[in-house]
Amino acid sequence: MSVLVMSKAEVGGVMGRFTTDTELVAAVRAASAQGHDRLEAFAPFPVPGLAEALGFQPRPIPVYALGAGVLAAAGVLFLQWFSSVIDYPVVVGGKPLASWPAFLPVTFEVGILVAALTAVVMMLAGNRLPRPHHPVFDYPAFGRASDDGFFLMIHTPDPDSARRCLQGLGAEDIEEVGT
Amino acid sequence: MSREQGQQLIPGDLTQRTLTSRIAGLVLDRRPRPGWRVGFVVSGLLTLVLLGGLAHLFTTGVGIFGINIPVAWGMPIVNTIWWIGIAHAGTLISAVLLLTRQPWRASINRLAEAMAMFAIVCAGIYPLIHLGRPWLAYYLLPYPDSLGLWPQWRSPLVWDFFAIATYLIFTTCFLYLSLLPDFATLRDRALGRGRQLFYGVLALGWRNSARHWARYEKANQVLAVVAAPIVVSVTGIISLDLAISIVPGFHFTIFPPYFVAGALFSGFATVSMLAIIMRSVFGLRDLITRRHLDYLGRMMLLFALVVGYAYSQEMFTAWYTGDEYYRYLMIDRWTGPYAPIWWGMIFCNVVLVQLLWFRNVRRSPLWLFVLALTSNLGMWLERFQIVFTSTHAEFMPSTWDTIWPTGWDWLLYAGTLGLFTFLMFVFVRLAPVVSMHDMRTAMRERSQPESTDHERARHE
Repeated sequence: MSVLVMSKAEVGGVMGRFTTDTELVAAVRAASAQGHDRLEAFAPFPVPGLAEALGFQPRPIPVYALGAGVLAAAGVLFLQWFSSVIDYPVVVGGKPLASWPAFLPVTFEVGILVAALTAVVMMLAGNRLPRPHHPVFDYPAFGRASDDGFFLMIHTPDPDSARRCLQGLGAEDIEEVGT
Repeated sequence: MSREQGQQLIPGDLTQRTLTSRIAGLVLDRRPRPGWRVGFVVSGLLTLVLLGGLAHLFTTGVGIFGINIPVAWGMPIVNTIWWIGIAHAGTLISAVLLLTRQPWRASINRLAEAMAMFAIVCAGIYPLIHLGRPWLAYYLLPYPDSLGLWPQWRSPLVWDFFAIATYLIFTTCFLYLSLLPDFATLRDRALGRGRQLFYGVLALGWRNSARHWARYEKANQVLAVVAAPIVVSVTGIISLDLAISIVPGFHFTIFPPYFVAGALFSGFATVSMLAIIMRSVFGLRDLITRRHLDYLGRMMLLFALVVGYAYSQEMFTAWYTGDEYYRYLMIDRWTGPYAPIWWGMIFCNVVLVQLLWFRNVRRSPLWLFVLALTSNLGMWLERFQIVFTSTHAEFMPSTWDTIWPTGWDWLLYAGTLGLFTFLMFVFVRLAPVVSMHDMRTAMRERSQPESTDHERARHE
């Protein structure tokens, strides 16, 4: 699904700036009510409710992270068991070969490390980063997206209707982007 | 500063725009502040001292340290435990305050995360240089070697390696993730081509898209949830190095929580010191307010009380077990050759820290700085007495000996203090010292508390 959306997003469209996050969320709702279904919004911080207004639901990264962590923990527990019992059995201090309580610290650490790395990698991969350049950077006002600007981009083959829509919503700095 | 201003966590006249230009300006201004120059030069020289000390160590051997049987660990391990402790509060502040949505987190979490990052670097140096043959450190990794050997999984030293490595990688991810949107801000505001490229590469093309943020928040959530078990497990595992042995003074089940509390105590002390330094060097008194210092002081006091409780438990257990060696150890700590260390620890960590009950003390940068300094000193003395007094007089009187650190021990210690400070000073010139996107969120929540709650409720 995400691949499809990304390729559609490459079409280019019209971008406009709003001054507050509430205006942006309202504009997203209004634009989609007007039938624009390929919207993208930009804000300098995570705006609550913005992703929902866009109808965007990211993959459940925490679930994947938990799964990957459990798998990695199981894997490293197996490695410890295999190396201590099968591959190189040495009795130390009369302890059993499969002395599992002593295997837990490494199991635990590797499990949580892999869970954390999974979350980071999924965030970057989902966002298609690193990607040094993107057409939206050509939009002159875009620097304010990392400062105090709240932007709505309407991807459409019909820029005039998108422009009218943004004007109606009270956006500033309206311009065509990324054709 | 008026009392009224000190009450607010975010200054009332701050807007999104002025916030960005102020914080980004600290990085993008070509001329560094005079205070920064002094710190940079002094800590840079100390870092050179560290490099010189390491060169001597690697060419001569670990004999230059004050380590000898029976005190085989000596100051390098004291310093490892101490530095790890400092790192921990950094992670904990950032993660736990994020999960509990504490509004005072926003202006100090960046300092805390950076502190964690550089403290763990200092902590990681010591176990490596304490190895007699540091070039064989990779033996700790499970890799298919030509002898068919595996690491000894039952050894706490292998656990240590995994714990510290995990913590280092995790901290790097946590810090970088937090920096990513701020790098994008710097990229968008940098004027020179070189800076644009530098921050452009670091920002990885971050576009502040709502979809980016949605995934970002999910990933951040995972890291925050994972951070608490990491903090507890890493220090816990390091304490097992000691607790797994049968040495009186080491063999004690209270060690993991006792070490974690001590770690957080010294960590909060260090965050306080850094916050006090940064707010005066960079003129951030309105962003890092006295109220922030107050909260930090309370956290210090809380963990100091836990640490004090652990001391009392240690004494009680020594008496209650009826174990002759354990009882002797306790008396030796009070009256033996290392007695000043023990009493110094009690003075710093139990007596002096009680001043933090007073609100005026917590709110005074000078007092808090002094108490943070003595708390860090006290925690260092604690780690020292654990490592030295427990091993210098064990079961057999014929093996007893008194070992003291050498000049090289102190030189390398000063060197890591310099390295830590140097990395902090370099960091604050290259990256925003206050997290801009967290501040924006905090400012938004201040301006529209009801709509945020409403949206959150709807979201849930």
